[in-house]
Amino acid sequence: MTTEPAVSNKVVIALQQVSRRFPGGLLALDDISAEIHEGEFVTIVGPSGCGKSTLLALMAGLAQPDEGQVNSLARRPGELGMVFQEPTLMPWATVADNVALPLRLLNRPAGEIAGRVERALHDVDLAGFAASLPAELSGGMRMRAAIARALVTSPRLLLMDEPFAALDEMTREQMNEQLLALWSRLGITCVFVTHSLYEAAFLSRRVLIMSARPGRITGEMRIDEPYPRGAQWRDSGGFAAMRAALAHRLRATGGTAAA
Amino acid sequence: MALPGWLRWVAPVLLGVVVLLLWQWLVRALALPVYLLPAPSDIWRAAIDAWPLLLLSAWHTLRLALLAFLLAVAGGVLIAVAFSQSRVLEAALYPYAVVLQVTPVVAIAPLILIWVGVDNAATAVVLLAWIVAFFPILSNMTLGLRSVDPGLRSLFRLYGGSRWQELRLLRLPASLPFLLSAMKVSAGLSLVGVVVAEFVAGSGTSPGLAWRIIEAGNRLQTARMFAALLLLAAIGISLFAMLAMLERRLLARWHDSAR
Ligand SMILES: Nc1ncnc2c1ncn2[C@@H]1O[C@H](COP(=O)(O)OP(=O)(O)OP(=O)(O)O)[C@@H](O)[C@H]1O
Ligand SMILES: [Mg+2]
Repeated sequence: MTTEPAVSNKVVIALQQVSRRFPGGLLALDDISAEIHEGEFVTIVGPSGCGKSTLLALMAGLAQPDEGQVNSLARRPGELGMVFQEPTLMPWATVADNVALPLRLLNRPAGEIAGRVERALHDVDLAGFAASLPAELSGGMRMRAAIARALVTSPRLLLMDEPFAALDEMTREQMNEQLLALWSRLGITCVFVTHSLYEAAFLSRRVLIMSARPGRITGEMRIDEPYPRGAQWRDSGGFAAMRAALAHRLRATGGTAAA
Repeated sequence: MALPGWLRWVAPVLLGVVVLLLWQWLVRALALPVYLLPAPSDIWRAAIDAWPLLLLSAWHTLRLALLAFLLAVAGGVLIAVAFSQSRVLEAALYPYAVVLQVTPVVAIAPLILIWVGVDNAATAVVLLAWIVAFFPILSNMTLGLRSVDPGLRSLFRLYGGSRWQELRLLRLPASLPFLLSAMKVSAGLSLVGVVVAEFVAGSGTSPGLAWRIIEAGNRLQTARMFAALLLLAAIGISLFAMLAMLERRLLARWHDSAR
């Protein structure tokens, strides 16, 4: 059964007083400091436009901070997997080819690619859909393909940007549980952006709360409920209280988010 | 609102038949002289009488048009790829491509004829048709190579994909719908280009359809003129239909336009 991966003291990503300003003068991120530990599941919540995606791009090394420093142990290509807000699959390529893309970009041998793709597809329950095209899948399946693609290199760090925002509630709950199962089995470090407090309270051990304009981290909450978490956690009083507390903290920073 | 498949064929055919019958009846009822407006039956007879000559001319015109078309596709794609690799090159060359495009082909024909030599009328014709046909390929392909999902580009950067990988695995497949739709336009233009160029560059010895039309016009053989025109239209429509079919074939499973 799923248990919590051991959280070590090792810092996978450290942000030190990071700021990011867009051309035009908008201060998207202001003086952000945070540490993500190995094996952790951290969610980031905050109102729309507060800079969550920008923060994730900095963590991924896809953008550079204007001030401050980002130190990451997952800098070599393949050590970091990313799931975007949209599935971002290549529409002309089969699910298997989409999932194989990272390995192909890393010039891995064909034999290794085939094995890893098969395993990744199996991990996200898409084993029977290797030859399908993205257009032939449901929204949830497309997202699972994107997750398989992010996992195919066996990264040590997985960054996810509101991956389930477009899914219906039932599918989303199901995906949340599957994600937790994968996380604990693979022992991977997860940073998960969401604007759903449900998701934050259900998934993470630690929630970083952001405010908008300029984007700052205004608070942090621990959720000490042990893993594995399932429906009984979602239906419990502790969960409701945690969610209410999160909502309260978020309102106090001036933001609003979906329940 | 989609039309049933059979109606899409039957509707235009039915309209054609009705128009032909009306035409036949009007010409006879008004007793129009055959050199002014021949009835469909006159045109049919003229076509039967002259078919070896007409078909030979049609083949000649088609061959040159296909050659110009293939060269336009090859040239347009290659130049667009070069543009996608170098913004400076694009900025420097694109205005001249536009100049070439907006200059009427009739106006440059005499110049081209002088350059390639009057004996090489066929080369001049192909060159002129190429000038007309290549611009849609160039501009659409340039757009297609640029219309790449920014998320997918981030993904390529994340895994350290090379420029060559990005071109081969991402930009070229993404531009296929743009290329195919430009090919439909360009095929028609190369046919038009060949005919116009034949008008200007052709001489009594030129075996193309354009010259059949001029010849028939000079002799007031209006029915034969119509027959040649119809043949030309038939070639144009067939080219378009074949490319449309190719487009559906290639894009059927993944592109919205073909679903
Ligand atoms: N490339 C850019 N150029 C200029 N401004 C940008 C750019 N990208 C984002 N921004 C601005 O930076 C701010 C933060 O954007 P970001 O996408 O990080 O927000 P977000 O928290 O992810 O929002 P959402 O929850 O809606 O996805 C926004 O105000 C946005 O307008
Ligand atoms: Mg975002």
